Amino acid sequence: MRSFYRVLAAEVLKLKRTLALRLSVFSPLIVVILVFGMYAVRGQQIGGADPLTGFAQLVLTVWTIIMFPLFAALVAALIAAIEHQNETWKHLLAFPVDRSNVFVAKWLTGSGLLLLSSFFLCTGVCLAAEILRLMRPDWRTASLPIPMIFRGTILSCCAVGLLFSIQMWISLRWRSFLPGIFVAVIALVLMFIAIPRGAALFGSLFPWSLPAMAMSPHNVHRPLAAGWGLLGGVLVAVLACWNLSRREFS
Amino acid sequence: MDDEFAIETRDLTRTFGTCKAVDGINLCVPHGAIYGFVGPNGAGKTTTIRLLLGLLRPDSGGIFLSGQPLNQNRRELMRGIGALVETPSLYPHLTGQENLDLTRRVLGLPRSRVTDALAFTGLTADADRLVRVYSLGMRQRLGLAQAWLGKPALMLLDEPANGLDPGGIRELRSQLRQLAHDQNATIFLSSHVLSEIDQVADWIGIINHGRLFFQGRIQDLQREQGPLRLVVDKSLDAAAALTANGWQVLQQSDDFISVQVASDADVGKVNRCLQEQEIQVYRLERKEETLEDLFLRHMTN
Repeated sequence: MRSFYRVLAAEVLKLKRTLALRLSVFSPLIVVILVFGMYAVRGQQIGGADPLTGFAQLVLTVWTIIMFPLFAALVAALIAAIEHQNETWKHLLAFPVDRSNVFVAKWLTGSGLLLLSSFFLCTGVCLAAEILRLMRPDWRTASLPIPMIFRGTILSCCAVGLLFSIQMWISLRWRSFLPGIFVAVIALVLMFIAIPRGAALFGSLFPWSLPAMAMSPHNVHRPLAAGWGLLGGVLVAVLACWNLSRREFS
Repeated sequence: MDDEFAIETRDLTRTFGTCKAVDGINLCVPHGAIYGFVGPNGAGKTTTIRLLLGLLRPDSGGIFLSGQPLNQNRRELMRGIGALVETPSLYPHLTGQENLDLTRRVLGLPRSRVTDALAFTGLTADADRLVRVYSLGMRQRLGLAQAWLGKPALMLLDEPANGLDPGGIRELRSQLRQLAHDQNATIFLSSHVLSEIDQVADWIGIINHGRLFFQGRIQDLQREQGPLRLVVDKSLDAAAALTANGWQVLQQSDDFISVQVASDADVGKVNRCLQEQEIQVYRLERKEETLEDLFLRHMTN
């Protein structure tokens, strides 16, 4: 176990000054800023009876439908690229540790970045809502649905596990950046085309739509989406680590 | 397996498609030796090193490090190995110190080792610069520091002098000698630059087309006789007489012939054979061969 912690500590150090780490902060903030801009300019028209709930709901929807799945795919590709681009597999896999430790540590650092981005999303939503409240005196009494924000973020974090594991497997397996990003884009297009309105059950099983399905308070299959994403993610991660630790990286 | 050898392989074979990159090689690298592993580009040197590190699996044959089979004790055995395979494995977005710290973390070593390794390779002043801005030579030295960090008993170095200037190469040589003699480390040094091996190694293995052509002490290789050059009065008769007696005549001109001999005793036998045929021998000389000559002769044979 100690050797695993040592590998994990090394993986964390590798994230220093990387694009993946920067994106974990900026991606959620970009979504928050965009929606904040909309509400700051056109709040009167789109605010409705419960403007801050609407604001939080819109941020979470944009985040979970498009940004979070893309971000997860990008993080997976960027983490794998650290080794592929620098040709460091030979050094990494010659260490006196179980190879599976190396891959599990990579999964955990990637998952850490997903959690970090979710943390910044929640923080960003709350801060932006407070600024909106200050900007619009008529919204001072509007309440911010903090439990809804946190529940939605946590469930979408669980749900993203499956797609993240699939993306990690692809990115670590192939040296090129392209297969991972190609799969992510095709899957997102499929999600928009092939999942019609009302197909909540199918949507709650399709890996790339799981974060949105797990976040939506109106989805009756919400626990299924979150549970399947988490358990499926662990299962795929175990299979991928088993497969990758037996591969030759030449 | 005998644990007098730091590295021992038995009929080690590895194929890529239809190409036998390593073809049944039997390496024997004694403890504490600086073993030069030479061969032209594409001879199978890097594949051998990757096999020794467990990065590739052999198709057949065994690898034993200090007498222990690699496939059963990889994790334990890797603890005593430091490696530099082809280009150094470095992260350009981290500083030199951070790169070493990364290896230190995985190996569970004290922080002082990073400072020692930086000092050992002369990189202390550049420790806080990003590796992205390092020169090729600095990267190579950092790679060496990375391999040396755990003070391993066995170092596998693949072309470690790549990118080093003449001063750097000389420094590398003295560092390797220091490691071998002061710390009793075994150094397996692969290179295609013969002069580099000649000046530092005490053992040598010559590989080409995946096969090990020669293995032994450098003195043993040099002791292998080069061709004997004889200045004679009747070179045609001399060549015929020697060929008839089983000697291999390599070259013949009007006044001299050159003959392949295996030992000093053979020189006397050749002389006696010519005298019996009443051929005057004016001069007998054996060419001193450099490692390069020996290497090329082995390659040609």
